[in-house]
Amino acid sequence: MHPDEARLLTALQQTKATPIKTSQIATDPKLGMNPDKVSRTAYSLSQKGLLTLNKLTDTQVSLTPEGREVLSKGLPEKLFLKILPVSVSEVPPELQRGMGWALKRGWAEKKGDLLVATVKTTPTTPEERALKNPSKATPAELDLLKKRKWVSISTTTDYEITLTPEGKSEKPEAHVNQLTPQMLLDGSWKKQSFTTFSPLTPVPKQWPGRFHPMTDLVNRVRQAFLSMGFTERREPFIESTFWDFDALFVPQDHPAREMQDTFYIEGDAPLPKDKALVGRVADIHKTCWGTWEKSEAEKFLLRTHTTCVSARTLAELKPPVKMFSVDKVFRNETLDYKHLAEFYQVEGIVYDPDVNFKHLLGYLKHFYTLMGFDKIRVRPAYFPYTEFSTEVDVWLQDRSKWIELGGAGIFRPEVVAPLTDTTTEEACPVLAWGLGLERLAMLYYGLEDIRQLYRSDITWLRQRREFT
Amino acid sequence: MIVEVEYADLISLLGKSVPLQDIVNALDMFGTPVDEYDETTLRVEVFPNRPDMLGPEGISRSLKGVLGIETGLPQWKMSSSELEIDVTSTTIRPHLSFATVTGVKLTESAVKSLMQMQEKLHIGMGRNRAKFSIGIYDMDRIRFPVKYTEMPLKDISFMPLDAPTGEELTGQEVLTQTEKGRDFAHLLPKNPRKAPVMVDAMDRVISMPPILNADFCKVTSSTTNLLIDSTGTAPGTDRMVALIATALAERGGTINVVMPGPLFLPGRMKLDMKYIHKLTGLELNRSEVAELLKRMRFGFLDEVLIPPYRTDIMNQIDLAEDLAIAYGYQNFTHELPRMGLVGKPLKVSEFENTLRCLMVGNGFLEVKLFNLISKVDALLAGGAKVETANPKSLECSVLRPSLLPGLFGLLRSNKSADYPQRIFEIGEIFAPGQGRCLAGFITHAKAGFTEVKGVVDAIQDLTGKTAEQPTWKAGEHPMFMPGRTAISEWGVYGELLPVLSQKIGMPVAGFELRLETDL
Repeated sequence: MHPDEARLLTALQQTKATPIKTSQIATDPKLGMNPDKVSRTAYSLSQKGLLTLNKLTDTQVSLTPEGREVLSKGLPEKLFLKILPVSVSEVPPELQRGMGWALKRGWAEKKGDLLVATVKTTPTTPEERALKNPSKATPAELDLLKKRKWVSISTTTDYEITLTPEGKSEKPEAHVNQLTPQMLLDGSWKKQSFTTFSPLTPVPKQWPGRFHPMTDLVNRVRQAFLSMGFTERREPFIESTFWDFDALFVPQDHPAREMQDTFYIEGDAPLPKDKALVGRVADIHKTCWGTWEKSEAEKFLLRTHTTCVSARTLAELKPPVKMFSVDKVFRNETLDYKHLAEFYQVEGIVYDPDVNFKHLLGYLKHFYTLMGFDKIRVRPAYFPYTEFSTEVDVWLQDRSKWIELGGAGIFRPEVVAPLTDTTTEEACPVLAWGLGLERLAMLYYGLEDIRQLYRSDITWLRQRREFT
Repeated sequence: MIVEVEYADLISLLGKSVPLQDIVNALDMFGTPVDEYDETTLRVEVFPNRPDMLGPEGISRSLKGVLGIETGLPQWKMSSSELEIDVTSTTIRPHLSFATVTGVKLTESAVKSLMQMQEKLHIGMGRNRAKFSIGIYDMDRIRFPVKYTEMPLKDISFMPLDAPTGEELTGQEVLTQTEKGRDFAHLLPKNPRKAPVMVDAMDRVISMPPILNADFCKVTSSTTNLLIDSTGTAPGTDRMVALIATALAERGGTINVVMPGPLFLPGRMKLDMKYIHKLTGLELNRSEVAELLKRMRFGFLDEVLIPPYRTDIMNQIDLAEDLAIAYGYQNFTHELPRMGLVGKPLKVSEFENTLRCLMVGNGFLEVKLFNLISKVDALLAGGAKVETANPKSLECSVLRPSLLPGLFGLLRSNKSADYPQRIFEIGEIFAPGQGRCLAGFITHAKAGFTEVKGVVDAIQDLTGKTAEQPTWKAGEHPMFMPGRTAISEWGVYGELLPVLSQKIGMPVAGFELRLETDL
């Protein structure tokens, strides 16, 4: 039992008065509790069945200073009658209110500018009777006095405490709530008994720090590719049109390069220092698309895909290479429930003379198995820089449907040859993919609106389930 | 691009009743997936590599192959035409080609499909008519020889298709009073104001490329003989004409070669069996390969014969892909190659994860915000250093110069979440070069300098920063309180200006630290 409860119970068991009012026992200096605390403690004892409480409500009426003045001097309207007749302008300020009431009661009237009495004697009013003995006044009379602000009425609540038989026999034993360093030092904890706690009682919420769901997902993807022997790579977001488009054989007049889809940034982007590389890229464009302008390759943009990271890798490294990148790409889109202006792309390439289409399917299958999907399928598609181009779908068992998660393929010889300095006939096969991640996150976390991922709603981030 | 085709039209072109679902499945695995369909109409997505499938004619031609109804190189009735075209050189659209298709039975639906294909070709390969445009005419209404020349706009006079008043307009009026005229006027030279025109033997204007054709020779469902032209600013108009003519020939017409114009001869390419094997991983013999290619409507003798509408076959890999589609992507096995490579993570990714663990252990919640923010928000941290040239929305228009404005916005929108709130982000800033930062905010009734200094000290000590001794000193920052702000070459921390934390209704302390930037 709480120490307060023990103290109150002791006091109640010792007093002879029963029942006893809370206000009364609160006066006991040994108890040392104010009436409010007594009430609260008594309430918790009553919850334990040790006592019963009987609520008492008391109404007290007391005269205000103004009320006492009326009682001693008389009603203001009666005082007013004594100075009649008088002209309106000569009524002294302290009798103004009495004038109002006298006119209202019909004891006086106006004759021109003059106020005159209409009665010789006046009766005793209910107000006067009530003022003399407020405790006997009827509610209607009290109301009159209250309106004229001659009395104030207050109610107090008190409780009558009666110990139950259990309360009489219960041993008041104080328990300790918090174990303190002091108790541990002086050993007093040995003599203490401690409050018990119920696991059913609610406690304040704890919000552990956590990773953002996209961090969890990015790390999961990184683990998957690392386990398959891929090396991680990242490149800056601001890229040149050369790497984002030209190096990937996207014709310079391709609609994807137009302003409305791509975020361009002012300034001239430097071309690669390797002049021969630039020359080879320029040549393949001129041969296949008829034209290539240096100025079109020198613009800055926010990369539209991480495929440019793959292009840079091909230009730098010799096979065998397995590279992956999980990073942001940008599209000039208006945000809605299924479109973002920036999102993650899972990029990967396998650059090796002995790989083929079956291996592309093998890596994709293995990756999605690691991400928790058993079944994938690829469908023919089109991208300017791949041939074999495929869309990658995964099977959702619980919804019984395929959902599209990205694109994959084999880089065109027209992409690989200039970057790796070979002929198109001898170009090495390069398996490549660019997969979406937000859509996967929506599946994992059951979201209908893609913006939820980046709205950074603290409550959602705190409460979202861990994905296992 | 989405192409609408009628199921009934498709069946009549196929010459055989095929269940709707079989057609949908075949198209999905052909690389032209069906976006939506019902009993009467299919909406098919066609990618830029297959402009020949921008109509039911090309779609049915491909379906015949994969469904085994008809394989190999498509056979059309061919003839040569004696029509005369008189080409005066024009500098505006110097490239042009023609062909005619005669004896075609058109229906309302066929005319609609033809117009759809023409329009989709204009948008895609035609680059909104800037590169190529196409004209299709009822040739029986035209008197030959036809002359291609150019004239001043004021001297051109004809009643165009969809004329608003049903009267003749001058070239100038066509540009201002018709919808197409207004849309494409920019493709004609400003000075002098002139346009290419096609005029028939009776001196009637039949078209003003790339804007509009004349109304009198328009194609209707009763048209049986058609003249096709394509004009352009680059070589390739012959391909545009071939695409339309071969589509019409699927409806039983005879293709007539006109000069200048495509010859409709198949392209030829040697087949490299070893390459096909290497890329597909399939062990196929020559006759199996031939069979698969024929299903994709190639001819196969000693060489592969490529139909004239296939503008996308550039080399062996294109043949390999078509072969794989015919084989069926679903029929490939999934294999992993033997490659003795060990995967390596990036140090920076690992370091960032270490920092995240540290912050999370300290009770901080990770958030992720956009790199693109509004110009106004960027002002909080001294203004944007990198702006995009053409943003669609003001909210995503500049690259953030600091993580702090975004995090502050986040606190503002999370006032109803439980306090204390401790949040952090690891992300890129652009000031103006791309760098990486760790930043965070603490907000609760007693948040202040002491707590945030404790957090920064911990990061500093635990990441080994102490050795480098960043020299923190009292400093100034546009978001932090003078006298309660610490700065160093590493970053900033301190108490947020009361004028800002007033918007949260709670004291706020925060920090932003630059991370090593080498990726």
